[in-house]
Amino acid sequence: MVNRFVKISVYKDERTTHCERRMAIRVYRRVNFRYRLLLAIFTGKQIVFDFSEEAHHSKLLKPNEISLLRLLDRITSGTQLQLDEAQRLITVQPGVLIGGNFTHHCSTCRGLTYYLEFLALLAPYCKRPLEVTLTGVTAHPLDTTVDTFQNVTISLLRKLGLGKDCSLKIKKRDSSSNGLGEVLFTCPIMLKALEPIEWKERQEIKRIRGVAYCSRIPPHIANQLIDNSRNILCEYLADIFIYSDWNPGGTDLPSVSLSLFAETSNGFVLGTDCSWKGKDWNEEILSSVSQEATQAILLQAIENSVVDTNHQLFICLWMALSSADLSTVELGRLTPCTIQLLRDIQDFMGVAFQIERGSKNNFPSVLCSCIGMEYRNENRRRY
Amino acid sequence: MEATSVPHHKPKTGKKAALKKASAKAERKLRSLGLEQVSHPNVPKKEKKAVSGPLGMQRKIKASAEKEMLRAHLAVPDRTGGHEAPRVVVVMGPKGVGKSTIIRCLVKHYTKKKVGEIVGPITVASGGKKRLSFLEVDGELPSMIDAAKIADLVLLVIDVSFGFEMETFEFLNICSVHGMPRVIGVLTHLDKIREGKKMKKMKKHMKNRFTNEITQGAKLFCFSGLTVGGEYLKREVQNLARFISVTKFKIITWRNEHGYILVDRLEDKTEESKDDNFGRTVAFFGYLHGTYLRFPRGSNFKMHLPGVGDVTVDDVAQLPDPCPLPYKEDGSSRRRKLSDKERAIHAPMGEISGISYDQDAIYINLPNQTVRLTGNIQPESEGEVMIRDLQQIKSSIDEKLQSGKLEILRQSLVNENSHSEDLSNSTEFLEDDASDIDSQEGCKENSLKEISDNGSEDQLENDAERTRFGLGSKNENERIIGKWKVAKDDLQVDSRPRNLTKWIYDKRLHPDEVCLKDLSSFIPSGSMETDCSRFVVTSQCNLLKDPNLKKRFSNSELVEENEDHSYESSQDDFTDEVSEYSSNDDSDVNKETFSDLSSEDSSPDEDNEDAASADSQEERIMKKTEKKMQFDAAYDAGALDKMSSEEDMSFDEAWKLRLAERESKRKQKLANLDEESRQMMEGFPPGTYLRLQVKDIPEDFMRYFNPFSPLILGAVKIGEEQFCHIRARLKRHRWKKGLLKCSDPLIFSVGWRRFQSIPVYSSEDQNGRNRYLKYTPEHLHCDATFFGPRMALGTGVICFQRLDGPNTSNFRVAASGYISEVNGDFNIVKKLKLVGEPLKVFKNSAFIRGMFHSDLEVSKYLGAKIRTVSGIRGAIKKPLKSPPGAFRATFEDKILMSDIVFLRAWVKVFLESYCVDVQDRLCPPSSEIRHLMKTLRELRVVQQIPIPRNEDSEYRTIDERPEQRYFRPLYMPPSLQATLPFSSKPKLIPAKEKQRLSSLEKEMSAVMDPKERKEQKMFQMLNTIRNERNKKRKMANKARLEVKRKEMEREEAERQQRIDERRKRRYTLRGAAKKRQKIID
Repeated sequence: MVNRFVKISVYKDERTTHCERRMAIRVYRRVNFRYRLLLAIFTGKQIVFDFSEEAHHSKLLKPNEISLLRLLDRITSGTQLQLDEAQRLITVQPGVLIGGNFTHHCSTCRGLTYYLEFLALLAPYCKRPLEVTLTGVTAHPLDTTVDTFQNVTISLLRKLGLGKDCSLKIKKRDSSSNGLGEVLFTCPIMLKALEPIEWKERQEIKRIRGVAYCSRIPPHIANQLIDNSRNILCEYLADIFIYSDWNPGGTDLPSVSLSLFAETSNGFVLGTDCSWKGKDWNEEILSSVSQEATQAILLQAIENSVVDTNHQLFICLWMALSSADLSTVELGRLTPCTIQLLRDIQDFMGVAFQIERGSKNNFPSVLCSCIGMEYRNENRRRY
Repeated sequence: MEATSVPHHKPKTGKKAALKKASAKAERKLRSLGLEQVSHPNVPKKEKKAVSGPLGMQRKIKASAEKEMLRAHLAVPDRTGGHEAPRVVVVMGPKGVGKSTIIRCLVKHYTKKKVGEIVGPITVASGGKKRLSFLEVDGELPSMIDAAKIADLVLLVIDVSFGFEMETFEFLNICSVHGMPRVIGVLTHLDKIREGKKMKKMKKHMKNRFTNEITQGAKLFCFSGLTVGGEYLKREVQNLARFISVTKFKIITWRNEHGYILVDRLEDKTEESKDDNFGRTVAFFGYLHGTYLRFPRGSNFKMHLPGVGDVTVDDVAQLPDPCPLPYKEDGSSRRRKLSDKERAIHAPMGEISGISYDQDAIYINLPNQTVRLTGNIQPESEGEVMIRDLQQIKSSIDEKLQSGKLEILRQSLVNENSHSEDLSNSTEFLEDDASDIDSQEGCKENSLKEISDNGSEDQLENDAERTRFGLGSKNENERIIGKWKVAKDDLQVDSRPRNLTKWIYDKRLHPDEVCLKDLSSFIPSGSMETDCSRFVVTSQCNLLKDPNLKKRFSNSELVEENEDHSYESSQDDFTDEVSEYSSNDDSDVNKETFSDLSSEDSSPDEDNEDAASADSQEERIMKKTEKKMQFDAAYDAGALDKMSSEEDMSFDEAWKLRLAERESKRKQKLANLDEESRQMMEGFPPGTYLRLQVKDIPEDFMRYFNPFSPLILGAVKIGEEQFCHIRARLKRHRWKKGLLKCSDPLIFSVGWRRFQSIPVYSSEDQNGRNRYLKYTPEHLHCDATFFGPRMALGTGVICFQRLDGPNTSNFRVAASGYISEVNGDFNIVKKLKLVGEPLKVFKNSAFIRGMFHSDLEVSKYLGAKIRTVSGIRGAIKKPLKSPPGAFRATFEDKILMSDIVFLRAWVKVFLESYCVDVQDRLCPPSSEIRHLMKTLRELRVVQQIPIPRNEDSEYRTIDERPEQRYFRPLYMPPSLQATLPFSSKPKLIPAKEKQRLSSLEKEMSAVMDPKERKEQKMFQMLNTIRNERNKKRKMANKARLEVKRKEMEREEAERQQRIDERRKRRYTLRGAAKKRQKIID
C-alpha cells in the first residue's frame, strides 16, 4: 500500500551533493502533521517525520496520513517520499504544486474536511486551477463538517480575493465507513502575493444559519436538534435559520451532525459544529450534540475573534505568506495547535509573530501581527 | 503621391528674423486696434475650425492615453531602505584604462586621503546622509557577473585611444539581465589623440554608440588628461562626483527581495588546532544591502557565496558602524560641508582605516612605518601606569558582570523543585505578583475570573468527567487534562504572562502548558496529534450567564438598521451553496439566499415589527429629509467636487497611497517594539554592518582568496533551496559564435548563483506540444529546460559556455533570457518514425515486418496509427507468430508491396538532473575551474577524437534514378461499368482527332466558277509581286551587311594593330626601366 510512494532517488555523482547538502527539518512527534507538511511544501524544505519516539501503536503511518500523502502526490510534481523499512522515518521532499482535475478516495479514518482544509491552503498556489472530487466521510467527530467548510472556509477564501470560482459542492452525504460521501472542490489560482491581512474589530453577530443532518434516524430528529439549538440561541438573536437534511439510509451506523454559522455585521463568518455517530441513539445524545454546537457558537461569540478557533491556523498561515507588510488579525484564545503552528512557521519560514492582548477586556482576544514572507505563486506559468 | 512637407527652420537670428519679428509686431498692433490684416489675395486662407471633428478629439485622447500607459509602471514598494546602505559604485573597464586612477581621485575628492592600490571595496561618506562603496572590476567574467548583481551605479571606463572593447559590451549585457543599474561612461586617454578634429570625431562616435547601447541621454564624461601627479583634473573629478551625488537609483526587483552583503573584510576563525584540510570557519564583515535580512532564529541558515556555493551561517552579529553617516536621522545640522573628521573612509582590505571591530575585540592597525616599539621601559607617569594595568587585564568588565551573581528579585526564585529550572527561565517574562500591582489589575480586569470563583481544581475535574463522543476522544481529553493538572500544580505562579510573544515562542514549554496559562473555561477538543484545533465549552452555566454575551449579538432593531447597507455588502461573504436548500426558483440565484430566507424566517417576528413600523416610518422620513438637506448644502459648497475627485483618483495614485499607508503602519508598529522583537519581526535592516560567521568553507577558499574580485554573501530566500526543473525563455546572443547544442553543458547565472547545468532546448508547437530542438534557433527565442535551484518567475538568466580560460576575441555571453516556469518534470518530445515494409498484402489488410523486433514490442503498439508513403492510413492489429516483430495491419485501401509503412510516434526526452556550482573561488586565479563538464566539442579537442562520420549521412551524387515504373491499364469490370454514370464510363469510341482529308475528299476537288478563278488569279499575282519584292529586299540587305562586315573587320584590325603597337611600346619602356634599375642597383 505504501510502497507506491517509494521513489528513491540516488545522486550517485558526488558533484551533485547540493541536493544532499540541503537542510532537512526533522520533526519528532506526531504533531500538526498536516500543517508541517504544508509548511514544507510552501518552503520547499525537506521534512523528516520521525515517529520512533511515539507510543507503540502510533509508530506507523495512520491510514489518513497515507491518504494525505497520496493526495499530496497527486497535486504535486516531483515530490519524493521515502519510508525507511520500519516505516517510522518518513522523508518528504516536496515538489512543485500543479493542481489540476482529479478524483481522490480519502481514508474514512477522518472526515473530508481533514483533506479539504489541506487542499484549500494549497490550491491558490498551484500551477493550474484545482478541481477535485473527494470521496469519503462528510461528517466525522474529529473534524468539522463539510457544511462548515462550505460556509466558513470558502467565505474566508473568497475574502482573500479568490472570487466566486472558489466553491464546494456537496454531492453526496455519508458518514459511514464506506466513505460514499462526495464533494467537488474547485479553486482558482492566485497570481500575486496575498495583500497584507488586516482583520480587526469584529462587530456583533447579525444572524445565525446552520445545517442539521441525520441519517438512519427518523427525519424529525433533525428538527429536534434545530429546536434545541434555537431555544438557546433565540435568547440572543432573532435571525436564526437552520436547515435540515436527511439521508434515509445507506450508512451502517446512525449519525447526526449540527453545524452553525454566525455572521457578524461586518461580514465575518464563524462556524462551529458537532457530529455524532454510534449504534444506539437516544434523546440525551441528541440534546448534547445540539448543546455542544450551540455553546460552541456562543463561545465564539464572546471571543472577539474574526475567525473561529478552527480557522486560527488558516489565518496564521496566510499572514505568514502575505506580502512583506504588516498584517494584523484579532484572534480569540490561541489553541495549542495554533501555538505549535506559530513556532513551526518561525522554524520553517523565519516569520515571527508579535502577539498582544486585545483591547476589549470583556471579550478575550489577542492581536497577532507579523510581516509576511511575500510568498508568490511561483508554480504558475509565465508567458 | 503627395510628399510630406517638412517646414523649413524658421530663422532665429539675422536680417530675416528681424523682419519677421517686426511684421509680427505690426500684426499684433493692428489686431489690438481691432483691425484684421488683409491677407494676400493669391494665398488661400487656412480654414479655421471652431470645433474639431469628433474623431479628431477621440484620436487625440486615445493617443495621449496610450502614451501615458506606455510610460506608466506600477509603483513597487521600496524595501531597500533608501540611502541607509552605502551605494555600490562599480568602476568597470578592461585592463589599463585608468579605473584605479578614477577611484583614487574620487576617494581623494571625498575624504582628502590618498589611496595606493585599490584592494577590495572602499566605503566613503559622500554626503551628510550618503555613503558610497567603490569597487574596481576588470574583465574577468566571474567578477563582472558578481559586480553586475550588486552595482547601483556603474562607471564604464573607456580608453578612447583604443575604442570600445568586448568586455564593456559583455558587462552591459550582464547588467541588463541582472537589473540595469545607472550607468555613466567615462572616456579616458583623450590626451593620446593629438589632432583636434580627430578627437572631436572620436568623441562623437563614442557618444553615439554609447547612447545607442544604454539609453538616449546617457551621460558620458571625458577626462581630458592627467596632471603631473598622475591624477585627473580636479575640476573634472568634481563634476563626476557631482553627477554621482545627484543620481537617482533604481529599485531592482531582485535586490528589493534579497538582502546581501558586500564583504569588505574576512577573517579565518578556525581553531588553530584544526588541520588545514579541515573546513574553515570564516567570519565575513560587510554592510547589509538590498532588503531586510530575516532568518529563522536559533538555527543556522543558508546564504549563497558566489564562486563557492551555499554556505551555512552559524552566527550573525551587528557591529558598530565603521563608517558612520555624518548626520544622523534626527540630526538637525544643515551644514553644506563636511568637516574633515566626518569624512570617514572604510577599506579594511586596503588597510586604509586604522581601526577594525570584531564581535569581542577592537583592532588598531598601525602601518609598519609608523610603528616604533618602546621596549621594556619602566612606566613613569600615572597615566602610563594605568594603561599598562589595562593591558594586563585578562577578562573584560562584561565577563565579570556575567560571572558575578546579583539577585534583583528574591521572590522570583522561590521554586526549587524539579521544575525550578524551567520556572526560573519562565519568570523572566512572567509578572511577579508581589512586585507589580499592575499585573494583578490586569488579571482582574479580564473576564476570566472564573478560576477564582469556582475553584479551578473542581472545574477541571468536572471536565474530566464530561464525556466526549467520537473515537477515543475521551481518553485524549483526560490525558490532556491530567497533564494540565500536573502543570498547574507545579506552576504556582498564578499571574498571566504579559509578554505573550515570548511565552508562546518559548520552546521549553509545551503548547498545552502555554494554553493553560491563558485559558480557564475551555479545553481543546482536538489535540495537536489529531491535527485539529477546536475549543469546547466546559462550564456551560458560566458562559450562558455571562452578561457580556448579549452584547455580542445585534438585536432585531439593529438588524433593521444594518439591512440598508451592510446586508448587501456582506451577503457575498456567505457562500451561495446554501441556496441549494432553499425552495426558491433557480432564476433567483443571483439574489442571495439569505435575503430571501430572512424574509421567510422573520415571519414570527413580523407581528412585532408591524406595531413598530408606524413609528419607525416617520422616523425614517425625518432622517431622509435631513440627509437630503445635508447633501444640498454640501453640493452648494462644492464639497461634492472634492469628494468625487478623491474617488476618481487614478489607479496608480490610489496604489501609491495604499503603499504609503502600509509603510507607515509597519513603521508605527515596529517603532513601538523593543530592539529584540523588532529584529525578530523584520530582521536586520539594510545599512547595518554585520558580521556573519560561516562554517565549513573549503580551505581552498582562503588559500586562493583574491581581494580584487568582489565577494558577496547573498541571502537565499525561502524556497530557493529547492531543486527542480526550470524552464527559461532563452535567446542566443547574436554576437556569440556558433549555435548552442542541446545537451551541451552551459553555465547559468541566475540570482546570486552561478551553476552549470545541461539545458534541453525546445519550442512549443501550436497544439501545445514541446518539440525538442537540436540547436538553438538563430534569431529566435526558444525554451531551455534545465535542472537547478528554484528561482522566482521572471528572474533574468544569462548563460556562458566558459567562465575561465584565455581571453578570446569572441563574445563570451552565450545567451540570455528569463525564467518562465518551474516544474517537477517537463514533457519534451522528439519525433520518432518506425519504418516497416509489407510482407504480404491481402485486400485491405497486410502483414508488415521490420518495424519491431519482438511480439512484446508489437503488443505495446496495438491499435497505433500507421501510414504508407502514399498516404493510405491504417492501424496495427495483431502480432504474427513469425517472423518476430511482424504484425497484421489493416488499411483503408489495398497497399502495394512496394509501399513503405510508417509509424509516427513521440518520444519523451530524458531531462538530466545535473547542476553544479561554479566554484571559481576555490581555484587558483587564471586556472581552469574544477569539476565542470566540458562540451562535446571541447572533449573532442582534448581527447583528439575526430568528428564521427556516418557513411550514409554523407552527401553524394545520385547516379541511378529509380527504375521507370509501368502500370497496367486500369481494368474496370463490366458490371461496375454498367452502373456508372455516363461521364465516368470508359468510352469505347476514341476521341475525334483533327480532321484530315480522306482520299475521297482529295479526289473530290472543287471546280471553280469564273469569278472564283479570277479571284484566285488575282491572289496569285499579288503573291508573286510580294515574293519578288521580298526576294529583292533580302538580296540588298545581304549585300549591305556584307559591306558593313568588311568595314568592321577592317576597323577591328586597325584597332588591334594600334593596341599592339601601344603594348609593344609600353613593354619596351618597362623593360628599359627595369634594365636601368638593375644597372642602378
